[in-house]
Amino acid sequence: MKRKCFAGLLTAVVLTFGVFGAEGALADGSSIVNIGVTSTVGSLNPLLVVATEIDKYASGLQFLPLVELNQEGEFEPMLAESITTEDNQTFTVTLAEGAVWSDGEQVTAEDLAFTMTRLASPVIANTAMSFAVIDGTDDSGFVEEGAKTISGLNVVDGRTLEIRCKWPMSLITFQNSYARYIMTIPRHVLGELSEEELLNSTWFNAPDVVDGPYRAVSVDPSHYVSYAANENFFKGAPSIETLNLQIVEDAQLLSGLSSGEIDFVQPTMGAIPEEDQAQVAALEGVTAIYDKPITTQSLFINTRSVDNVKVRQAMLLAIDREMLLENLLGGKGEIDDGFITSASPYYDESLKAISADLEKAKALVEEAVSEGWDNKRELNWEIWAEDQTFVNAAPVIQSLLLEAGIQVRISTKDLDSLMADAEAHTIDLMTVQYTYPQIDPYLDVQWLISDDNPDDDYTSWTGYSSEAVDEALARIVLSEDVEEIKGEYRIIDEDMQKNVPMINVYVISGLGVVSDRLENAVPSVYGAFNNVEDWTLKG
Amino acid sequence: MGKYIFKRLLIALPVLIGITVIDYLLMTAAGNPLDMISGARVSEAAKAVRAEQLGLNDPIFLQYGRWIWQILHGNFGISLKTRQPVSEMILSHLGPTLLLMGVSLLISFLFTIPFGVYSAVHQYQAGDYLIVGFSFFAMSIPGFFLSLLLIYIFTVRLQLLPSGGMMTLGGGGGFLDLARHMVMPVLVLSVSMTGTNLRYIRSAVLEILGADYLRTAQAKGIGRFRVISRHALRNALIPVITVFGMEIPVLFGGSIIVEQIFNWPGLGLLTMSAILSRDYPVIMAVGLISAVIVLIGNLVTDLLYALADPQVTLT
Repeated sequence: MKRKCFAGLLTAVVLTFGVFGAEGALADGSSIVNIGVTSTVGSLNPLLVVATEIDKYASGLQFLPLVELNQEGEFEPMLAESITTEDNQTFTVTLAEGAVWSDGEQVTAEDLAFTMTRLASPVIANTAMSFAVIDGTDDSGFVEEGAKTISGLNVVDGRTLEIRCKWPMSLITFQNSYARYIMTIPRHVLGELSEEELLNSTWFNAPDVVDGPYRAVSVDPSHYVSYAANENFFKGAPSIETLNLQIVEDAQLLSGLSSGEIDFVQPTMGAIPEEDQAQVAALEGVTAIYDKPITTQSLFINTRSVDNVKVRQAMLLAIDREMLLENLLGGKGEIDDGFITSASPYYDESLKAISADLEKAKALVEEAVSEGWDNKRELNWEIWAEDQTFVNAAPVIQSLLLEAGIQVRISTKDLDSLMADAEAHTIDLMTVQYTYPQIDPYLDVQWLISDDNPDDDYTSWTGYSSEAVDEALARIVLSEDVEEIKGEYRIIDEDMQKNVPMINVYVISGLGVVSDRLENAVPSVYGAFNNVEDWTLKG
Repeated sequence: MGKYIFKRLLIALPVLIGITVIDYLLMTAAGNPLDMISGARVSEAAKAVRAEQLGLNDPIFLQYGRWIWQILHGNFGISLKTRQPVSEMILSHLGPTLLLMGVSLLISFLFTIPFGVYSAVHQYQAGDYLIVGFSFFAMSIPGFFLSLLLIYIFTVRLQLLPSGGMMTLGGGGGFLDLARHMVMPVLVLSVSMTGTNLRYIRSAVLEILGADYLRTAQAKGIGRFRVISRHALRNALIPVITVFGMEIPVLFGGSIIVEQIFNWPGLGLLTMSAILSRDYPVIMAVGLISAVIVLIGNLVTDLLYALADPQVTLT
């Protein structure tokens, strides 16, 4: 009996510790802010960052990018004071006056040149951006192993670096493709490390010298990144002492927000499931904000395997996108064709999205069959398993396509496997959420639908190319004129309506959430962390 | 005993190698980790260089040979995703998993043994029905459901316990903080184990209670408590030890789900993340360590048999 009592007592003690140890609110008003994110972190090393939102922002808090998009989708200076060009081929980066590392050393153009040289190293082999465009690199975008600099880089003075390119590109594209992703690292601290040492360095997980508002102090890439404020941040010391990225399952965002454990959810880093959004919006103590429609639900069609354009057109006509938007997203979004949404300066209101027409779709499939299309063929359609909203939509679309005479088999995959299958071209259709930077979707559009490789080694997901698209892209990359670019994107979007390598199923207005105890923080798709040093806690 | 342990360890060696070969084949059959890096900004040239650096273009047997050679030199390699040494990653995550498993196992047995014995001794009485009822409930309730239920009650409604993590990030830490974070995951794991174990112990004790030697002991006038604690319980320990041996791999596997739900920084979430990103060195290291733990668990179980039952001899 004594033993039983002991066991019961021990358990009661543990539970009591737990419950009464939690005296007070879960987020107890101390200067800690928790950001809920739903993807794991790859690396905090800016040389290894892959082009995912979480990696970019997790590194960018420590090492500022040169520029970043703001909430309006415009470029805002971060480490750079300005980036200019006169000929669209040589870009002059001037670093912010007073930009210093946390140890007091000035951030110099030498630091930037060092970072870019390391990014072009074949040992580092960064996969996030190719430097093939930079003068002095080889066709693959690399310099010699151990190179001290790239010949296309010219340090003009302590704050100014000239970057010479092999071929011209617009300032917008340069900023969006390079300046947003180059995060400068301190040469005076890391300059002596070999490329191999830099590649595997764990220094970035707890750096003692940063130029961003925060520095990581504790990292577990599968669970969290904990940052401490950089007291010497040159734009002003952050008032929040501790900032945490808490990696959780998407379904846990609701409970975290309800309990006060999560203070902030940015739409592209933390995807709140559609089924939880109404509850999140109704929560007390937080403010939920639907951003502009930016993230698209893109259905990519492998045009090499679905090679009959009438079948692709039939798909576009068969899917009742308005119905999906209303019933699945509660109307929180919009329907567009192609890549440009109403959030873009290049949006053309006169281009109307094609409406569903099942009869026309059936007729097109019949025509395709008469041309040799095998309508008994079952197309392999892979969708992103974590996007529960679209997982629910897929069977509806499947039945609409079937009614039109197109058979599809649905498979759900995690994002990494989906990417691998798309890369291997083992699928006919693939749907994934894709955020095209509306200020400059050039690079994405070019990669997705301008594949000039006619053999089996095509790299894009669609394997599509067309003369009209290629010509429009060639003009876009050199233009700064909004009206001209708008006209070119219209050509591309019309081509999407006509040849359908991609169906923009719907455009999502992402839901971001911020705790009412947090001030100056806006959970927008772009620019949410641009002013993180100004975030404050009430009271 | 020493000879027996040595023999078992020798037998374990080919088993371990076999496990790693199967793991490696399955893992590589899933595909190349670099295939997952796809998109407009991805440099194909860099991917090709990376593949060469990592030896991913080599035949599988060569890749496996290189990995095993590294292991023999005490090197688990570098994570393909985070570029951190795998041994450091494993070490930093093994502790939390062992803590979670150990405390859950302990609490489960602290409940199971007295209540299992009580249930058997008071067969078909109210207490027995209550315990058996609880046992069925605990076995039936899915771990993920109980987890979500607890989070809803203690985090969302009552705001008493944190829904995840092991420590408050940026907080002071300490025992109380750890205890708060442990309550729910430990409860979920313990409940599930307790449900199963109660059934085993109850039936083991029931079987022994009917044995002749116990009747003899009772006939000699030895008190009921002494009969149960000194004679019945020790013999009932054999199935308990078997259960203990079985619990280790179950806990290791089962904790993956619990760790994921409660965001516990253990091997579970690390493994899931590594599998999803095809991080070969991490997957292989976790596979190897899991195999070693299971084999050690089996060995310890066999040794405990001998300790509990003098009739068992280890040869």
